[in-house]
Amino acid sequence: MLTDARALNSGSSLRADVCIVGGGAAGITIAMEMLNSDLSVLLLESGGTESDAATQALAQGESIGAPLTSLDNPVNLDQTRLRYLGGTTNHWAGFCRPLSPIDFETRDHLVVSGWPIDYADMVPYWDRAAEWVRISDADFSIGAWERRLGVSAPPIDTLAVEPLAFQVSFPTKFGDVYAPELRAAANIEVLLHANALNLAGNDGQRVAHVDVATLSGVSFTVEARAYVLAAGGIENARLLLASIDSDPAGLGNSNGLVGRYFSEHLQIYAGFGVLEPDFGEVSGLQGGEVAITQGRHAGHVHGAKFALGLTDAHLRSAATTGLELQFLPGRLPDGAPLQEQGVTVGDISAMMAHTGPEPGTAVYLQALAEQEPNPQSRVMLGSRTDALGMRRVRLDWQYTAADRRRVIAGLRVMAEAIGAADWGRLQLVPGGVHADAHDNLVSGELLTIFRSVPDEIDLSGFPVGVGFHHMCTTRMSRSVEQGVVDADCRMHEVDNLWVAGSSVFATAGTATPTMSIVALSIRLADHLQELLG
Amino acid sequence: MRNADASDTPAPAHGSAPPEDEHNISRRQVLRLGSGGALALVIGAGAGWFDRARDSGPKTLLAPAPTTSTTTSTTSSTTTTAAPVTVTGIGEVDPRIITLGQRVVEVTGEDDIAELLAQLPEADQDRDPLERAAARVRTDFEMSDTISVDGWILAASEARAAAVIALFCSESVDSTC
Repeated sequence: MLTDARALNSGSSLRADVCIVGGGAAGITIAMEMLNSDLSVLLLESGGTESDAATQALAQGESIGAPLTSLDNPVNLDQTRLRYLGGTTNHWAGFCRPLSPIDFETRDHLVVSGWPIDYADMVPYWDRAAEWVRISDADFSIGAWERRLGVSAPPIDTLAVEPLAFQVSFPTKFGDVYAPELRAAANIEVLLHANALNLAGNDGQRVAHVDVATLSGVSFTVEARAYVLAAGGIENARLLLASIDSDPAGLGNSNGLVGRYFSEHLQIYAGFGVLEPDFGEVSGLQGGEVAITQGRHAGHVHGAKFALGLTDAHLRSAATTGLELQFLPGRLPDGAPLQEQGVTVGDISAMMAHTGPEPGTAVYLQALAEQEPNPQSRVMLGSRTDALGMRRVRLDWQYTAADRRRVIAGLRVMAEAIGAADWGRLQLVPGGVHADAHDNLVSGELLTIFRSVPDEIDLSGFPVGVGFHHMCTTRMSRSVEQGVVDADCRMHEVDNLWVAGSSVFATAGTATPTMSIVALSIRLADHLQELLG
Repeated sequence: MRNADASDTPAPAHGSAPPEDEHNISRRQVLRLGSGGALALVIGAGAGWFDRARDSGPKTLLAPAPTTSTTTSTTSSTTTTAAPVTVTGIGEVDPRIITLGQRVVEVTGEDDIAELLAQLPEADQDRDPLERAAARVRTDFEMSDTISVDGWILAASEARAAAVIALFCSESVDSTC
């Protein structure tokens, strides 16, 4: 059922087998996996079923590290995540791809890496995750998607570079989609407008109860056999740091690792390219849109988008981090594709990259990169408090010069693979493409940018945006010295507290995180049902 | 090399010298040479596309004729022992090739035509220049033998070929070299 916590009596004490904090992709998946089980589930959701400004303001905080930007525009912390039922799935783009085998491996060139579970441990959960995020299935093979969509993936397949397929959820807002079942559930109660403020306990090894409050002034507690934090990569750390009954450093934080290793996906407008004229047909993309066909079920559509990625083999041999590259066709102001105007890009393009009788296709390049785990990149608590008296977040997001070098090196590897395949040429001008290129990429601008490139391109200071992917702040590890949760997502130091969501990622990878969040949540739900059932 | 046969005027057939009227390469033809087009143009010098030692006019280019070559993982080197090649004319060249070539020279500092030529594949009477250029460009990319010019990642050979053309045409008052 769905209950408005504002109608509860202050001082109430609620009980359940499982208390889940957060009603986003992770929290709703765990609750739904327990639907009709013998366990009673109480899910605390900060917001209601729609967004409201007062609740959303609870997500405000200060950013003191690298600038947070999206499409060249500064963004505030409260714009990067949403506090109402469904959480951040209320504004996600729907791109799905599971983590890769390399992501689970130990990589000696990183300060910390390696999960305490293997890729094989996750395989049983991808297909189930596909059901929850509502994509076709867990088949991400290029061949399958070429057949389903009737288009070809980029014809690049080397030891270092390979095409990738992202499946597209259209996009599944977990709150909207699963609210009816949650409302009807006999064993699940979703408490709306219920904000968890403190994980109470006096010995630091067990949570005794959760202190909860509404913005309307109602306070109550929840006691459970098991507690699951599923409030997102930032809020999970915030709540642990704010729970100081037994330790001023926060709950489960004796090694000071809660909030550290905060990772984002580095988003870089990497430059331009001129590709074969049949690019649109080859990639299945027109104007950056997603290729879709009728799916296997009535009313279902297959949706996918191709990109290029560095292979796992290359990441191992080159001791580097992940990188993906997408090609977004340029457009004239009137919306006509450049190629229809007979326009090519730059003085070089027509001569070198365009190999056919028709003008080559002008594209701009969008890269998504994994950053190396960095303990200095962290979520902390600020000195200011929110409307409920809880200390706000202070985010110190940091990426390194090595991250930038790896991005450039990876882009060059991709440019060389494209050249070797005779598919075109890339111009790497990180930060040289402006955000409005999405809608207003004109030939004149491209030429101007090309000609204004300085002799020495600044590869050390190119702008980096964010993907609203908050990861690794309660990273999974084998030992308490290297992370916050164990292989079962249980806090190393707190017996009855588990963590769900991308905060448990040991390293970020390059896959968009939602599918992996959901898969890990299913796995956790299985574990809890076995443990408590 | 895709679309190589799309040119109005076919590239010289394997094993045969190009006809006389192909000494001058039109802009359109150059454009349609596509990937490695500039390189093919220069390779063509060894196949007889450039006049050899017949003219000593103001545009005459003296360069050692490559005779043997060895290729390593990232570079190629050529031993030059034969009589010099005298290039007397390239024809109408797309100005974009010259623009690129000038930038290559500026970026790399490589401005010696003989040395540049020595790093390019020599002519092979059994293969047409376009095919040979495409193969070399592909090998350059595969071996990461690339040059960044204003951010463009180019095969070293195609960039050097453009540099050769730019240097040769530097005294030209129009687009005809």
